[in-house]
Amino acid sequence: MKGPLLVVEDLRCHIPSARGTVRAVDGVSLTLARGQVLGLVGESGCGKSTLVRTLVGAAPARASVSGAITVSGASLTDMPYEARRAFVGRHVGMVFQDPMSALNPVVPVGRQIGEAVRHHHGLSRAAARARAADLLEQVGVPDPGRRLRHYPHQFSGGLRQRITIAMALSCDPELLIADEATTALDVTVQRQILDLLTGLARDRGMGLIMVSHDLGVIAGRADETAVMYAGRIVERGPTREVFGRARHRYTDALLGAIPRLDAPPHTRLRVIPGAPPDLAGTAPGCAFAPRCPARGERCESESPPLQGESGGHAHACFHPAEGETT
Amino acid sequence: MTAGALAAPRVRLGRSARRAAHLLAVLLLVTLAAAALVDLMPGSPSAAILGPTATPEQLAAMDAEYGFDRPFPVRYLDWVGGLLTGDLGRSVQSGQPVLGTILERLPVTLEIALLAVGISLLVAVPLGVYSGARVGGPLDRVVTAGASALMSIPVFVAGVVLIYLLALTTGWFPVSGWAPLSAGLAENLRFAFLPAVALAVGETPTLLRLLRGDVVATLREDFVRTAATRGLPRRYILFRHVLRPSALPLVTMAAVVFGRLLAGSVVVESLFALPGLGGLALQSIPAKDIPVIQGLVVLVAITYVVVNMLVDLGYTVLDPRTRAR
Repeated sequence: MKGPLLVVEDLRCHIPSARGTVRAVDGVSLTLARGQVLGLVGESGCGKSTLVRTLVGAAPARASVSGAITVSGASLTDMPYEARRAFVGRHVGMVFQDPMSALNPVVPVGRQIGEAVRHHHGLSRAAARARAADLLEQVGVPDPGRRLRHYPHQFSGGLRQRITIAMALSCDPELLIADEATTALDVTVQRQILDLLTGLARDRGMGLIMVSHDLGVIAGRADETAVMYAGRIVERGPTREVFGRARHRYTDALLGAIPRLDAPPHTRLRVIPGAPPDLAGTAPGCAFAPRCPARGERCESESPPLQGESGGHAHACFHPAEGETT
Repeated sequence: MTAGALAAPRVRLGRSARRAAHLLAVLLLVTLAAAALVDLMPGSPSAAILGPTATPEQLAAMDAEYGFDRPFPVRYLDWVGGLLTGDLGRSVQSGQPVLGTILERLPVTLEIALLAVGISLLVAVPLGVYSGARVGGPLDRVVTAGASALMSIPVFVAGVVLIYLLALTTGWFPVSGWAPLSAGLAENLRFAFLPAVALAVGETPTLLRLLRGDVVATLREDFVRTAATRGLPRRYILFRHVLRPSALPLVTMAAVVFGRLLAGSVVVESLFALPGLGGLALQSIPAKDIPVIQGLVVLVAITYVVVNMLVDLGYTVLDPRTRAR
C-alpha cells in the first residue's frame, strides 16, 4: 500500500472548563509511515495523552475537535461516529498506562482478547479462543491455553500489560499506540514490554506511536521523535538528531534535566525552572517563553511556527540552541 | 504455588464456618424472642386467647394442652426440639399442625414474591442501564421522573388501580383469588400477575435508581474506554462490560426486597384475597394464635439468612475477585 499510514493535519482539541477553554491539543500535524516508530515526549499535562485519545476518537465528550486525521488513506474525521469507532477498532490498537484498570475485572482475559475480533471479523467462539491463545503466546504469556480462563487479578502487572497488548493486537492493527504503556511497571518489566512493543511493530510492519514522559523510553527505540509542549509539537525529527542536536530550548532543557551517572556525587540536578503552563491561558507568544533562558521580545508576542530544516528536523523556536548538547 | 495451595482450603473453611455461625446466632436470637412472646403477653396467653368468658377449667385445660404454664427454659427447649424434628405444634384456631399450615401457604407467597422481584428486575435492568448510559438524555429524564412518581404510590393504591384497569374494566385478569399451579401454569399466572405487578410497582424504582447510579460510575472506568476504542458495539459494551461490575449492589438489594416481600406482602395478599403467608399472619395475630405466629417468625428469619447466603454465593459468581483461590 502506498502513502503514509497516518496523516494528522492541524489537529485541535479544545476542552471547555470552568477556567476557560483548555487548549490540550492546539494545531498538531504529524505523519507516520508503516513500520515506523514515533516517540512522543513531553511533561505531564502537555497534551500528549489527549492527542492520542483524539486520534482514536476518545476525546472528552465536551471537547471541540477540529483538523484532519487520515489512517491508511481513510479520513477518520469525515466518518460518522459509529463507523469511525468501528474503523478505529479494526485498524488501530491502543495500549493504556494502567494495565489493571484497562482490563475488566469480571471478564476472563481470553474473552476480552477475543471479543473485538469476534465482532469485527465474525469469528466463532472457538476460533476467537484459539486466536486469543495464539496472541497470548506471541506477547509472551506462559501457558496461554490455561490462562485464557483466568481473570485479570490473577496476573502480575507485567503480564497484565502483555494481555492488554494482546487485546490491542487482536484485529491485526496497522497502527499501535502505546500511551505511557510502561509507566506503571517496574524498570526491568518496563524494558521487556518496550522490547516486545518495538519487536511486534517490526515483525508485523505496524506503525507504532510510543507516548512517554520518559526520554529514556524513547531514545534508542523510536525512529522519529516529536517533543510536545503546551498542546503543540515544538520539535520533531529523527530521534538521533533530536537527542543529539536539540534545537528547541525546551528540548534542550529537557535533555539537560536527565540525571547523569557520571556526574560527581552531590551534583545538583538540573531542572527546568517554573511550571508547565496552564493550557487554559490565552497569552500570545511562545508557551515556553516564561521558562526560557533565551527568550527575546518576539517570543512574548508571536508564536513561533514549526520550521523544517534539512533531514526532516523541525523546530518551533526563534532563538534555537546551537545543537551541540551532550 | 505451595503457599497458595495450602492456604486455599483453610480460607474456604473459614468463610463457611463464619456463615454457619452467623446463621446459628440469628436463629438463636429469633427463637428466643419468638418463645418469649408467651411471656410478653399481658395476663396469661390462655386468657388472651379464650377471652373474658372462659372458665378456670377451660384456662387450665388450654395451659396443659399448649404448655403455656411451664417455665420459659423448659418451654423454649421443648419448642426448639420440636422445630428440629419439624413439629411446630398445632394452631390454636384450627387445630392443624403449624408446619403443615405454613407449608400449604408458602408457595403462594413465594411465587408472588419471586414474580415481583423478577418483574422489577426485568424493568429495572434495561432502563437502569440505558438511562445511566445517557445521563440527562430524554430516556433518563423520563425514567427518573417516572421512578419518583412510582415510588410515591402506596402499594394498596397501585393494587386498586391495577384491579380497576386490568381486571374490572378490561376483564383480562381475575379481580382476586388464587389458582394453584395444579390448575395449570397459565391459569396460575393469570391470578399471580396482578398482585406481583402491584408489589413490583413499589420495588422497581429502588432497584432502577441503584443500578443507574452504579452504571454511571462504571462507565467512568478505564476498561469501558478501552472497549470503546476497540470499536465494540455500544450494546455489547453496556451489557457485557458495564452491567456485570455494576450489578453487585443490585443483587444484594433484590435479595433484600425478596426477603421483605416474603415476610410482608400482607396488604397485597388481603387486597387480592390470596391464601398466602401474609393472610395467615393477618388471621393469627388478632386471634393470638401463638404457635402459628412463632412459626411464621422463625420462617421469616430462616428465609432472611438463607437469602443472604445465596447472595454471598451470587457474589462469587458475579465477581471472580471474591472467590477463594
